[in-house]
Amino acid sequence: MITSKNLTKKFGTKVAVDSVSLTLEPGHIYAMLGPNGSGKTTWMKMAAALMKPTSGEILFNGNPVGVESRKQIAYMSTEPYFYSWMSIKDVGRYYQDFFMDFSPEKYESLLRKMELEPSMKTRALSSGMMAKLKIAVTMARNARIYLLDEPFNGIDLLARDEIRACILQEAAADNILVLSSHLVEEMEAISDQAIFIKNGKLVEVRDLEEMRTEEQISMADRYRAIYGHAEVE
Amino acid sequence: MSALLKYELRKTRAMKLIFLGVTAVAEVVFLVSLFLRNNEGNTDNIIGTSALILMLIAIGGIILIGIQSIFTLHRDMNTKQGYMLYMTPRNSYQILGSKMLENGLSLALAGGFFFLLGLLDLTLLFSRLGELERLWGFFMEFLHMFNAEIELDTAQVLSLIFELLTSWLAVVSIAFFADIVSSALLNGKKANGVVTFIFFILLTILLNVIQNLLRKSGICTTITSTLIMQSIVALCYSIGMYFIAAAVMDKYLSV
Amino acid sequence: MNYDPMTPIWLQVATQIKQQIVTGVLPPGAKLPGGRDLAVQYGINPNTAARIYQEMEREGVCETKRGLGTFVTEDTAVVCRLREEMACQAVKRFLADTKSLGLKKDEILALIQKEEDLNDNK
Repeated sequence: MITSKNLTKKFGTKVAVDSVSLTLEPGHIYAMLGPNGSGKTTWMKMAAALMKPTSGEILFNGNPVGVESRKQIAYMSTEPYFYSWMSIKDVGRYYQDFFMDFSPEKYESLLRKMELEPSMKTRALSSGMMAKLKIAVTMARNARIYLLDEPFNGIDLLARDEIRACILQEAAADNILVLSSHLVEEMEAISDQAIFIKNGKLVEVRDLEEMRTEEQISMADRYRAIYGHAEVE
Repeated sequence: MSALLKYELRKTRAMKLIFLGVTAVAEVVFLVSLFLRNNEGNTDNIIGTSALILMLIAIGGIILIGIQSIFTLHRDMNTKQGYMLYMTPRNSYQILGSKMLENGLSLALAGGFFFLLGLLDLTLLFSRLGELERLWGFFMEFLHMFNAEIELDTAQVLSLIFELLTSWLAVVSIAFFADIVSSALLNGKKANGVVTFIFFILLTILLNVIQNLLRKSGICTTITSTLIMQSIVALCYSIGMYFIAAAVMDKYLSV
Repeated sequence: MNYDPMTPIWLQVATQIKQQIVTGVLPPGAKLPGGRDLAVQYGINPNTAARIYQEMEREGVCETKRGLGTFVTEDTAVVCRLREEMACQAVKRFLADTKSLGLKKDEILALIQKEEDLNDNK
């Protein structure tokens, strides 16, 4: 369980995350939605203990996130971050050196499924292949929480299918997945909860099937209602 | 921490290999020209030049090892590459510690390597050209004209090398500290670079002031003991910088 | 997989599975994929996948055998009833559509006859 209490992050005078309070429970895939710059990435980085909050706190099973929580919280950033000398195999070895919950077997099987050649250098990968590699190495961990920042960004349809399958394969009753995206349609079927963030503020957290049943509206409809028509992609 | 150290060493591997390669080439030239020398001294120019180049490589190598560490740290705090470190369950003390250790280790290794190589080359030189010992004596007399105390014995040479390496390590750790403070506290602020530089200069001056004060206090009577004292001060200063920098990193750094 | 985002997704997938049961693609007693596989196969949330089997079980269309998995019911009467229900719904939809165009019962019947004749001549 991860709880964000009045979590705030300021960069100079700009407020990136503004007093966000919410609790995420195991057994769900959360879609974290909002246009670019609405604070999704900043929230995730604080949850991953990469960024320090300006005020408020973020707790993992009751304790503030930090070095300890990183053992159980897997974070995947939008941008590639591997060392340029690394091959796909080296990336796996690196995760194995640092994360107790990393399974080399799972990594290998994911690489096979995604048709990634372990001997390839990471600097030679196309953006689609890089996106698949990031997902594969992150999901090869047996973490309690997966924070995936824009897993579908900038990649083709086929790679998206593979990434979607990989995510769904790992979702379980005892883990939490948080996927940020501004590609709303992509998230509609795979997530069951939606977190809407606007200008750094939490708007609401909704159960999607409930919303479809009771109000006959989709996540995309709600998105349009919240953010206006201008920024829907 | 061994895993962190392993990857820190990996980051500097390429440059070390380049230096090793260049050193090997210069060394081969030196040895071949020494071997081919006849009584007229036909290869003396090449011997001299390659010896000079070897010395420059040694100095340059040691300087660059430090500079590369500073750049690596800077990249690890200010680019996405930093996630590789900060997403792992390792704290700032371990992360920075592995960097300091890598630098200290690399400096010690490079220092030791070049010292032994120099010793070997000098021995070969002396054995090949007996008359050079005369030259050496001449050189020592020349030195004595300036400072009668200088007595180039092994202990002094070793402590001098040690002092140079530790001072350089101290400079690198001051740079680490200044860079960390600026990345963690002044990130995005305009005068960032200038402030960092001023910080760096002030901390370097402080180290020198401490060393001077201790030197003048008269605890150390010989050159060797003075050099060792300075080395210890530099080492302690580096360790101090490390602890404060890691604490700042721990509390304030966002990547 | 494309879903109508305004209709609950469990309902859409359940309808597809029922169609497969009615048409015999999934015969009585056939083993259905596990919850996770269903989720991956249809690209849907695992909770939604679980809901599908819950609802279909409630309707008696499938049953879960402990430790073995979920199976299509072997009760052919249930399948027949399901077939009837689905046919009934299809006709209702068709009638609603054609009536909204202002067609009368006779016209609708005539149209059906005409389309069928065309198909037979093909």
